[in-house]
Amino acid sequence: MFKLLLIWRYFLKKRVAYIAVTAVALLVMMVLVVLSVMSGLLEDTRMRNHRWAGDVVVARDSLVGFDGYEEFIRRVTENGPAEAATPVIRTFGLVGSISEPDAVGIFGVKLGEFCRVTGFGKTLHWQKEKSAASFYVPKDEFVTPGADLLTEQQRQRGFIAGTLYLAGRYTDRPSKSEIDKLHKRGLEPSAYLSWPITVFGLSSRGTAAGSGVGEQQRFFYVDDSDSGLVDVDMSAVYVDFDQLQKLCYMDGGDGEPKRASEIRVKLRQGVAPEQGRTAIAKLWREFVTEQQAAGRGRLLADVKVQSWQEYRRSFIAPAEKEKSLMVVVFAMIALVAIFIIFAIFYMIVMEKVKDLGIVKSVGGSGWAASQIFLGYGMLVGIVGAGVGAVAGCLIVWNTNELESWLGIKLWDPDVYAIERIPDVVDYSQAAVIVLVAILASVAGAAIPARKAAKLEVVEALRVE
Amino acid sequence: MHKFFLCLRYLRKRRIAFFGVAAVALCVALLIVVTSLFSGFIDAYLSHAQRVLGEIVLVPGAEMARYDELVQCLEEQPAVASAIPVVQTGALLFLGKGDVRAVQLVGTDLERRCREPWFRKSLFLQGGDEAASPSFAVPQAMREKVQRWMQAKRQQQEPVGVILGVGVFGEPDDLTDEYDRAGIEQKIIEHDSAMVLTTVRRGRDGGGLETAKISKPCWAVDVIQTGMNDVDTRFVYLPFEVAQEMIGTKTADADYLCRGSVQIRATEGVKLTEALEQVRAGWDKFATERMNWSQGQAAFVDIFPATEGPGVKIFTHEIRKQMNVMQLLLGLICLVAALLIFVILFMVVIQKRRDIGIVRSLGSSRWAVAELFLWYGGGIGVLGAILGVALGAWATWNIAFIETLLTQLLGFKIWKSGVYMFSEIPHEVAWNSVGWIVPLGIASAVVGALIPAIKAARMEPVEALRWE
Amino acid sequence: MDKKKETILNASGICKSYPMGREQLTVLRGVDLSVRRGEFLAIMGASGSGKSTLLHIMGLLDRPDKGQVHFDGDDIFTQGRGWQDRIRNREMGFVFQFYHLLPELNVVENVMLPLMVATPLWQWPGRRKNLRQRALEVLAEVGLKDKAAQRPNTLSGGERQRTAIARALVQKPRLLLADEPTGNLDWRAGKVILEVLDRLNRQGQTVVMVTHDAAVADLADRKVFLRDGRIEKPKKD
Repeated sequence: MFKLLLIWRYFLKKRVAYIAVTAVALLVMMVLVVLSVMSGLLEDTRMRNHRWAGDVVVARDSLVGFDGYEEFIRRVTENGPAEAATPVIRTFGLVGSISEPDAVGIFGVKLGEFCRVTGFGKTLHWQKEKSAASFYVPKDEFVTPGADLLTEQQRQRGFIAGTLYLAGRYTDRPSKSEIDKLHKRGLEPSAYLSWPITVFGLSSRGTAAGSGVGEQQRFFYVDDSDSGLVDVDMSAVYVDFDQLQKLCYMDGGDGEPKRASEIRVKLRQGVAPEQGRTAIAKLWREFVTEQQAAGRGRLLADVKVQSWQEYRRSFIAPAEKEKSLMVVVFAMIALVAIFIIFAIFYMIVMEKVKDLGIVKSVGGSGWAASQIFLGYGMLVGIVGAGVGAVAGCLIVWNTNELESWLGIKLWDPDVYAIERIPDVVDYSQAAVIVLVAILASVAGAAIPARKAAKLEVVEALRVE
Repeated sequence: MHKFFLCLRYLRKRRIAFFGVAAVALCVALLIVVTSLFSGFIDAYLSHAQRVLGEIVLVPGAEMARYDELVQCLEEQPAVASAIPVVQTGALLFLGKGDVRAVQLVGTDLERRCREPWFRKSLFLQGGDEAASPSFAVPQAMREKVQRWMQAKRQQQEPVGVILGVGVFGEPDDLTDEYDRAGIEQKIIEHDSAMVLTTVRRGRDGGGLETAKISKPCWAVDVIQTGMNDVDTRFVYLPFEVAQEMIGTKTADADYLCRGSVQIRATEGVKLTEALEQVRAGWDKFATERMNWSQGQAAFVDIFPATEGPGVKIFTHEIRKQMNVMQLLLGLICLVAALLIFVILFMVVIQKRRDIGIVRSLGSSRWAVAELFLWYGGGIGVLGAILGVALGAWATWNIAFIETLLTQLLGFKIWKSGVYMFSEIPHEVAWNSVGWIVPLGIASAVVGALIPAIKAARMEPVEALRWE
Repeated sequence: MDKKKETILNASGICKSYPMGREQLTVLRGVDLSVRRGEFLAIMGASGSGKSTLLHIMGLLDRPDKGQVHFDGDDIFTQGRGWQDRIRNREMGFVFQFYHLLPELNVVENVMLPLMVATPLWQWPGRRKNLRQRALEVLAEVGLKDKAAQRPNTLSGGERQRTAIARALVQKPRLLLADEPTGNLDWRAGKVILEVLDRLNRQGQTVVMVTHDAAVADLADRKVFLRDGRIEKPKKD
């Protein structure tokens, strides 16, 4: 009984207990906040990449692309694990207007399908809320000034530009705030109404096709896409799949089959990502064997079937690396933190060795006496870690409000490509942190307590 | 005197104090490494900007011709060491079967550019020989292949020689982030067909919106590796005149109007402001004497130091901001160190109650007792800071070694030129940052010692002695 | 008066030395001493003569290098720790020169400490009232009933020592050991403590007290002197 009473009294009466609680709480809070924000950032990066890429990507690096994509899409969606799949052409092109031309990535997409397979529709500005986004140029003076002067044929040729690229063409500095301004006051006709896009056509043998110089066509602005992926938003222009296919000589005009560079796949509900990828890879191998048997599989050999993580690996990896580096740094801090907690308890217990002697002198056993300190360590640890976890959660949940309240922009949305600081706590991580803090407290109390419990009563009493 | 004596004794006898020293050292070292990395990164970026853009950039306000005369006028100025005319534009490069890249076409004066040793040394084939001057001309070794290609394609005109960034030509190894130099050299010498460079230029009718595509066969004569990622992966160098011809508009006297820029390197030892003034003077001379422009026309020009170019300034600003965030985070760790020292000293104060009582009873003042502990904290701080500076400097100097170690440990390359723009990690210690980091470390130690010192000072001598 | 002759504690051949730098400081070199029921024994000796050490060994707070202590016929140092703890808790009460009260507990709680130690957690709610009553009774005996709710650091030295005596008595021990109980007190407070001890002895409590003060020792029925680590043969008596 006296143990509980003493633990409680120590906890309430000793000022050093408050210091210990505060220290434990602060350390728990710090580690929790940093880890949450870091893993939140990583999670955010992954989400954006997933949203843009779709679940599984069947792609060939070569710009020549591969044929048979229509047949494969049919197979994969009819009997396979895919809910939907869409072909994509990926090439480089020159976008020229008044200033010097920029070499950018050009994506040919079937917009309706593409939005169903990926989360692309949600990244658009004007057509975000629309159920079906389209490249059809609207007669909207605000979005596409001068659209009513276009012929029907021209109005089919809309383009969607990456947000940062669009902003970069307007100012020297590509930033989200610039594009916000543009959206608010409308686009300037001379700069944005139309862009001539030049691409380099390749025959199915990889040689220069057509004129051998590249083909050019004028496209008209309909929207911009803010995928949150800097590499994409900085240098991507999306146009209609069929238009680009024709422009790149991939539409079978030369008597060869039609080609695409990628197939983006959305898996059926309930299909595990890895399982889906394996299934599609298997289907693809069967498809290739079949085609090759028929003497048609020339372009199919080096096509890769990748999950979205693999497809975007080189862009996810840096974020993951940065996180693991930060974790290393914070592991060091956590180590110091554990040591501090340890030291505090060591100090408290050493100061209380005499009490231990007193308890023993009236007949308490050594074990019982050291239990007081273990209990004390645990109580301080639990209260401190609890307070720290709650404070940490509060901070994480309210980081954005806190940031705006403090008036500093730690996370410049233009730099980090995020509007909000991650504000979700990973509870399993939080639990581990809390547990480690409590263990450190108990261990910090246990070692000196054990040492003290072994002392003869007189020796314990003699300790200052 | 007794303060120092006791201080030293405590420091030596209390092994726990060394944890405080270690914590301070760790904080100081981390801060130094991070600050060095970031400021090294900024420096690298600025010198990169200077290399790619020159020290001073002159951008005419409109399209113009006669860049050679402008360069001449500029180089007449004593403060100007060299002036290189440059035209740049985006282009597509058809490298061969199925391989098209988006590149940055850079028309430059190779002879002038090779006056800068870094550029010359970065060339794979022509970099080694100091005596020979690198050129865009197709070397003898490749001549035969070029001829064969021209015959096969029934081309009359010889393709223009170009120098490619190493990343345009090959891919770095995924794990080591290194290029296979021998393989790439082999590949340049052996490739047997021309590449096609395609870009667009403004319509000749001057209507503004019309653009015409234009392309040119070219032959890779060399590869350059500068360690600057955007140069290495995107740049294609070709002769200034050729580029000018590609994207410029032909004038009556067989010159081409285009919007280029001049990259100027100042003579060594000349102040930047002085150089800027002289560049301006050179421009004025060119505009009024050679071009017979009016004052108003002549004023239509941008002359600025490369490090203050619009993109550069914004970029370094962002990096500085990131650095400050990192420093803030690490500053928090200093707080943890202060906490640790507080705990340790608190412990010492409690354990040394009797000593304090004795010292007080022998007639020393409260302040002296407080001072004793402040000195103690300060001692931990100073020792920690010294160790930290040594550790930080060592880590910074050997950052490449540490990185290799981590690469082996973690199984992935941390520093990739694709992510961090440069292939080399900055390894210069930012000594000027030491000026505030060391006081910060010591201050955090003293702050940690503050409350224990006050507690010690407030002990009554009798009370302190009674504890037995 | 037969009962008075009965020995309850018998120490024989007690040796104890402490490391003192490189050398061993031998404090006790074979002490034989027996305590009889109901007597008031004073152990006297100069400073450093080992009288406190002897008392600590008799009180199970320290163990001798050599020699045996029999309590009620049992050799206490051959018994298990649990048994020793129980003896310390129930059969012996110890009063220290420096009181050794727990500052976090108030007076009555300090007195209750041995009772709390002896009571398992699940029995506590049922017994709490009785045990508190017992503690208050003992406090009343030493004249501190009205200070029960105060904290030790608000008490005077004499009051603290009386609290410590109350704590030592609360389990009705057969043996009360006091180590210089008046050593840290002024004359007046010391006198009160001695009166308390004298009264207790009259009520049948066996008391062993260590002191270097002859005036204090005069209160005792019997005095022994420690010199050079041995009990000096009584010159007279």
